Amino acid sequence: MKILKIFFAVFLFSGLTLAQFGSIGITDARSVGMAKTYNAVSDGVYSLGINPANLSLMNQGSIEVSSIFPLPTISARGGTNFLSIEEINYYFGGVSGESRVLSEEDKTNLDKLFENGGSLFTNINLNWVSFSFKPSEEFGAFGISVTDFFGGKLHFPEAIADLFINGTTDGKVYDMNNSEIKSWWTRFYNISYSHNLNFIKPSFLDQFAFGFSVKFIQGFAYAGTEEVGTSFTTSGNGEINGTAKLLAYTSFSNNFGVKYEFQNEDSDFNFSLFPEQAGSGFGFDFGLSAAWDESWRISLAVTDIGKVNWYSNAATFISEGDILLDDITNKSQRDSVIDLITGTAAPVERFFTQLPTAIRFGISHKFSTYIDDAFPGDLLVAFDYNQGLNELPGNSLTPRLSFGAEWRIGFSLPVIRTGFGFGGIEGFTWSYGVGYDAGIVEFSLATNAAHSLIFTNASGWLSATLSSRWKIN
Amino acid sequence: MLKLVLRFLAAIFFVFSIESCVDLPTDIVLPEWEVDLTIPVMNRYHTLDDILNSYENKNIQPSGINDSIYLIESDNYSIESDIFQFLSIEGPQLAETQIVVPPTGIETSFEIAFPDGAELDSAKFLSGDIFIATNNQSNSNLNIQLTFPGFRNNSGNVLTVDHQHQPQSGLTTNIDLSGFSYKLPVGQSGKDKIKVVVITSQNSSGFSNATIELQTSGFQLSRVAGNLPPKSLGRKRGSFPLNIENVTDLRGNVVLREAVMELTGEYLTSNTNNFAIELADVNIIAKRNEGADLFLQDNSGNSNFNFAFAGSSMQQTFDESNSNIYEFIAHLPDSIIIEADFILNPNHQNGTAQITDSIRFNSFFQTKSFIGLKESSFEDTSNVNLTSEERSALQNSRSAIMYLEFENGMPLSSHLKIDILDSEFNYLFTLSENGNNEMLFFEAAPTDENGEVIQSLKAPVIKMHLDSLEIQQFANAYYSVYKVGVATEEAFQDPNKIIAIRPSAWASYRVYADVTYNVDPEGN
Repeated sequence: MKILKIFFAVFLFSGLTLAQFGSIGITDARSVGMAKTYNAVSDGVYSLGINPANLSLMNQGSIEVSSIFPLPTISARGGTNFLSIEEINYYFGGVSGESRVLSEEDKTNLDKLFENGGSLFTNINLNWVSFSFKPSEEFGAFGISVTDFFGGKLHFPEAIADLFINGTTDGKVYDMNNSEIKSWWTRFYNISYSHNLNFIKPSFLDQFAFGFSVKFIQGFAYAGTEEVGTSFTTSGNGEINGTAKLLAYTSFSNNFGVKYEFQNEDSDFNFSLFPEQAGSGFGFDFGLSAAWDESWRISLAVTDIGKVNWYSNAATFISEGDILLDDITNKSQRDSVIDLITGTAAPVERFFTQLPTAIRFGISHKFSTYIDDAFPGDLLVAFDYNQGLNELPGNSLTPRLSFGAEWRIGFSLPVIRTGFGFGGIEGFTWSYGVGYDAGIVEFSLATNAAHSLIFTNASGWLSATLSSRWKIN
Repeated sequence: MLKLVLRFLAAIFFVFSIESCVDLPTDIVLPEWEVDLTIPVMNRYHTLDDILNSYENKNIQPSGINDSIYLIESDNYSIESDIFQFLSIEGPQLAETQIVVPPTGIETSFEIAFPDGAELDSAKFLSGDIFIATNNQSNSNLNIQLTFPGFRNNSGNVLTVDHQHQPQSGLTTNIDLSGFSYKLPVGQSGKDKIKVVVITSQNSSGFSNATIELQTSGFQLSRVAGNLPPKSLGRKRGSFPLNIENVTDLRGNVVLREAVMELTGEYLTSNTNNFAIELADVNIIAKRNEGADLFLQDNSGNSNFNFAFAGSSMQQTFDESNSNIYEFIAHLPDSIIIEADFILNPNHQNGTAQITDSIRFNSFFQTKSFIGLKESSFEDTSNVNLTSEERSALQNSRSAIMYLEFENGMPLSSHLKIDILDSEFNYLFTLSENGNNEMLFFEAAPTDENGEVIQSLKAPVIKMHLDSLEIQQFANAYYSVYKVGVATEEAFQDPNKIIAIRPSAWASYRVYADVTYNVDPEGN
């Protein structure tokens, strides 16, 4: 079962970060410390992929650079939405190095954990370079970034767990219809521009800006199910009958050396950080942001409007038919059932996938000693609403709400950040982080799974994020 | 700068030290548990035709009509004879004559008979001899010319012999008739004689005396038209093994309802107007290697049959109305023996023949699968084909209950015993109901008074418990020895009930198992 161990390890400990992707994707450590509350608070290179209009909130002449050099930018995030850390330890930690033998009570409890099915996620981001510059108010501000995104999500239905834990039951229907797999590797080349809309801004606003981003996307790999409609019933004499329906697509760069069953020629795996593309596409971000009273900000954006056209080594996996298994010694029957479940591969010229389009809204308020003397240092409080418009990796149709706070005490003390998140895939999260702003360089550390550390029976997430940026002016 | 670095390192330590407080497994160890599964092992439907087809028995074939019945047929058993002996008229013949030759010479003729009383219109000689001896008894020179007007050589020349004698001298000539043809000379009435024309001449003024002597021998014909004497070609015999599998088990256990034996005699020739044939004292014997033989007999008990025919063939059918065919076939011999005397032209009549002709006698029998079978058993060994992964999976099974549902649409009851053996053919255990090691029994489908299946019969579900030891043993199974005994319904009644065994007869069975399986992903 080494494969399962690697599977768990990848899903629990993964990735690199910077640049937002989707409504639930990981971002910079500053935002993570505030429970990923970033729509109204992000600026500079941190606004790329969130709201390009925030670029205009930079000071005139500001330059920001972020890359893997000279300081690494690292984020690790992964987990499940059905197992807590305590439960992971109990069921998968073994007993004195040996497998835990589950009692009937253990099996019942484990089965309950899967009563809504189970999802596993991973997000890996690698930012090669980000740059932002605001030469002047008149010119506006622009930014560029090159970011890789590897994302995967697996949702398996309760029926699978039930079958593995409890075995077969006479007359029981096993519904696999909400099974889902989606994963991809893409590279985004992003150019953003923002300019103020002072000529139309209401008088009570200090700043009003718009922004847009144009992204060219290289796709290197995609595998995803579009439709799964499989269910079956077991009977007392062991007969299994049901229906199966599957529609899935895959596309891979030539570097992966993928050989489908309908192909005769072998090809070699040849890993490269710059592989041949398997697909390409374009995406767009649009955003508005405004500020008033030197303490309030509001932000609205729609990100990742677009699609990717996959055309290299593209295949479709299709099956539709009735499942009947009443003779496992009949090889043709076994093969038929396997073909129905896994689908038959056929070449396809091309197919399209959407980008993880999301609507983002945020509002923030800064309590500052320089403004109202009501609070020592600067206390920034923010609220976000992120709504994904599909279920692609990094996105979720379940809205995510978050509240974050950042306290810059001053006196060379670190900046303290915390926040609470609700919804999305993770459900409730509690984050905290620290940061240092040394003027020319700023670095931050955070985790958005603080609750996992204290309430180990409440969450299955772990996270740690480190990011930095160089700032000029 | 130092402070900055220190603050940075402290922050990293702060965050990751908190994270390190989380007790996470350093090594993922998957749990182990038992799960109850109901596995559909097998669900099959077989017709009797499916089963027999898998044995590729060419002697058992469906009759190919609706509601077909099996035709259990023998091979064709044949004995043959050529007619070389019939075309041989070898008996020597002798003829002698005395002639007086006047000074002017003389032409005369005489005859010599064909051997064996043969009467020929025409013939072709494969071999044969005519010996000629002439003797001049006078004191003058004498010429004697002998002409055989019926004989011509390959060049079409009439056979002629010239003897030129000195005074008081004798001369001989031997003629080899190989390749000669014969045709009855025009005007000659007797077909049984060879005509010889004698022409003599001399240079004397007086009369001369001479003798002529002819002798024929070794006439072998390759073709003839005429009347040859009846001749026996000898008694011919053929022995044909039946090669019935498990035949000794079936003896005494099989009763038949319909059976037929067909006997065929053929004269194989390209000619018309053939000679008549007689197959005399024909015996057809069912022979056992050990035990009594049984002769095919007609209703009067006669086992020596005579068949005569003119023309190309004859056929004789024996069935239950005119013979002991049931008893004969049910004797289930190891071999069939056919003997007969082949006699050509028994009625001494005209006909034609050539040396390539032959006579064939053929027998063939057929029965339909209307039988009463008291008990027939056979035993066989087959491989238990399990992959290493399957054997490994079996070893994770804790216990199992196998269920066998059997529905019998065949009018055959059966006993079944399956022993499981390991790779060294050591006995492991017997698959039996409730571990009683007894044979599994399945009743025959009920039949009506005509032996036809009325409806199928569902057997009670058979449960076979396998404990953990037996499952572990099954994981080491490489061979299964199965013993099967079948019988028809009411086979032991007197008289036996005859059942129709049709290709469409079927049986279906379903095997499934309740298994307690130990899921052990770590492979402990």
